[in-house]
Formats: sequence, C-alpha cells, structure tokens
Amino acid sequence: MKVNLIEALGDLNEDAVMKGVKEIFDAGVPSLEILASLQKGMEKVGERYESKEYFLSELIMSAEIFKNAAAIVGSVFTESTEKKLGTFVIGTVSEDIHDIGKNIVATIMSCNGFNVVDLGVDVPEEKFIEAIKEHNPQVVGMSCLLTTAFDNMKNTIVAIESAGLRDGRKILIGGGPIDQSVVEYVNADGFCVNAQEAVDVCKKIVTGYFSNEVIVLKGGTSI
Amino acid sequence: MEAIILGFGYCGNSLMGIVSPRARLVIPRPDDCISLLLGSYEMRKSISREIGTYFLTKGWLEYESNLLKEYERCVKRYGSEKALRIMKIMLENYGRLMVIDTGAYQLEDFIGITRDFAEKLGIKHETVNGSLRFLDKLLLRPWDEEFIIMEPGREVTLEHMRVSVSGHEGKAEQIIFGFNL
Repeated sequence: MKVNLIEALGDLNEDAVMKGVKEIFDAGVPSLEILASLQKGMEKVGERYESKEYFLSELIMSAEIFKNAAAIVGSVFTESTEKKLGTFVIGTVSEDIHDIGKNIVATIMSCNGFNVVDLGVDVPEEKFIEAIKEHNPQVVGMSCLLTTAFDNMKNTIVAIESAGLRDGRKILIGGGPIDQSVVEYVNADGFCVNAQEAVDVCKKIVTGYFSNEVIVLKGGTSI
Repeated sequence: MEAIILGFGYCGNSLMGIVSPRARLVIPRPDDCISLLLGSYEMRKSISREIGTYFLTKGWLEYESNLLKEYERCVKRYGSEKALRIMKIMLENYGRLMVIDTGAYQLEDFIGITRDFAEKLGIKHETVNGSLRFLDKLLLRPWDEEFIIMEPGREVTLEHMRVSVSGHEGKAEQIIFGFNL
C-alpha cells in the first residue's frame, strides 16, 4: 500500500492517491508515516522533473494532489498542540509574482513540524520586517524566479540587517535562477534546491544552534 | 572578427559562462528579450508594476515553448478540465496577457488565438507597441552603458551585469540590468 502511494503520486494519479490515503488513514496507519510516503512521491516527481520527463505543469499537479491528500491527515499537524520545531517566514520578494515552488516549500515545511508564515508574493521589504518582528522566525526564506528580483532580494536583506533583525536567524533563498553567485550577491546564508532540502536544513538550523555543526547545502554553501 | 553581437538579455542565467576566445562579445544589459523588444528594462518593469503581465510575440508563439503550447500538451495528456486548472494556477498572480506588436508581423494572423486563451483564463488581453530603440543601438552603436562588452576569453558572470551606482542610505550600491534607481 505504501509503495503504491509513492508510485501513484509519482504517476500523478490523483484518484489513486486520494483513495490510498483514505484507506490507510482509516486503517490507523500513523499520519507521519502517510506523510512520509507522500513526500517520497513528491521526490519521485522531482526526479522526473529533473530528467525533463515532467515540466512545471506536472509540478503544479503534484502540489495540488499532495495538498489535498495531506489535508486528510493534515488536521493532525495544523491543530497539533505539540510544540513546533520552529518558525519559518517565507515569501516571494518584491516585484516577483511567482509562487509555485514557494507554495510547495511552505506546504511541506508545515507538514514537517514548522510554524509557517507565508507572506505571499510581491512582498515589500517592510512586510518581511513586520513578519520577522511579529513571529521571530529562526529561518527566513526568500523566493524569486525573475533575475530582475535579485536587487529586491538584496535590498530586503539590507533592510533586515539595518533593522537589527539579522542576528539569531538564517536567511535561505531559492528559486529557478538562484545559485551560489546570487547567495553572495544578495548576502543570504545559503540556498536550497528543493522543498526537501529546505526541511532538512531548517531542522538542522533549529536544532544546531547549540552546536558547531556545519551544514553543507547541495549547492555547495556551508552554513 | 571584431565583435560578436548577441541579441539576448541575461535571460535567467542563460548567458552565464558564455565566452568567445577571439572576438569581443557585445551583450545588451537588459534582463531578457521582452525588455529588448519593449525598448528598455524600465519599460518592462513599469508595465509589470501595473499588473502581473505575460508577454507574447508571434515568434515566441510559433517557434518556442510557450504557455499556449504547454496548455495544448496538458490537454492531450490530462484532458481539458485538468489542463485549464493547471493553467489557472500557473497564472494565478497574472492579470494580463500582453502581445507585443513589433511591426514585423500582422497581429490579425494570430491575435484571435491569444484573445481566446486570455478569455479561457479569465484575464485581460492587451497589445503594446514594441520599440526598435535598443535593437537600433545594438546594431548601429553606440555601445554605451546599456551594453556589456566582454573582451576575448572573458566569461560572462552575474558580476558583469552589475552596475555601480551611488548608494542611497540603506540601499544596495550596485544594481543589475537597469541603471535607474
């Protein structure tokens, strides 16, 4: 059943995924286990995207299926009174309106124990600053697809520093054209290539504050 | 050969690593061909600031991957209902389809198709006149601060797209692509 769920999501078979999740949820399979299978399915989709079998449309479909399927088990996470691992503020920077990747990251982060504050798209500097003041996140995520948004990303980080809000948190960036040269240009702490890496890195950040562990990202940065 | 002129913008990192061993490369500074055809990066920015805008030309429709071709691919693979759902999500933050009239073709040849597509998606459809300003300069010079000149053997990096400007307090002192703060 678990194997079928992973393959069904990888194949973008929405009916099979929904049926499969309902069946095993009703049968008492732990929510975390169901979610792990769904995330493995998303990884399969990611692999097919990398190999150019799937394109943006397939990513969108997979995100929708994941969201709908996770909603069946999701109340466990959103209503949980368990202490969250940490707070993650994310948004697409000013003058960029693309959010498909960002939305996937936000969904998967919230399914992995983080309190996610999603600021949406075209987020001005002031809104990032207000959100950081209000929610005190351990990690701030910034997304863009347009290379023309690099300067806005840079200026947002300058504004965060000028407001004295950089210390004690990490700034991670992501999006199509993002690479190490952009990290250096905008002065972020690192970049993540996909939602799973964002989860892994953020978990290490929130638990690693009291250690000297160096986190190496897929793009080659170290935090 | 004195120089190779590229009718490209940075185009989402596509020029990164480009190098010519023997000739100079002349590269327009704007971000991509939308800005080139509109005449400047500033023009593209001001249009996009009004409302999220997806730009099209006849050439992009016919010769490149584009949204309409992607929609047709999805219809074939997933059916029209799912395909439309996907397109609406993809363009959720866009409010307008804008066809650039470059003067190099007849709008009537294809504008019915773009209008239909905009209507399907529930977004506005408009046209805008393109401008030869940049292309004239690219072909006829001067190759001024709106261009990047790469000497033979030098690889294009993001660094090269930066322009140093006098900083405002709290703002970055370098910008990319445009040079009006």
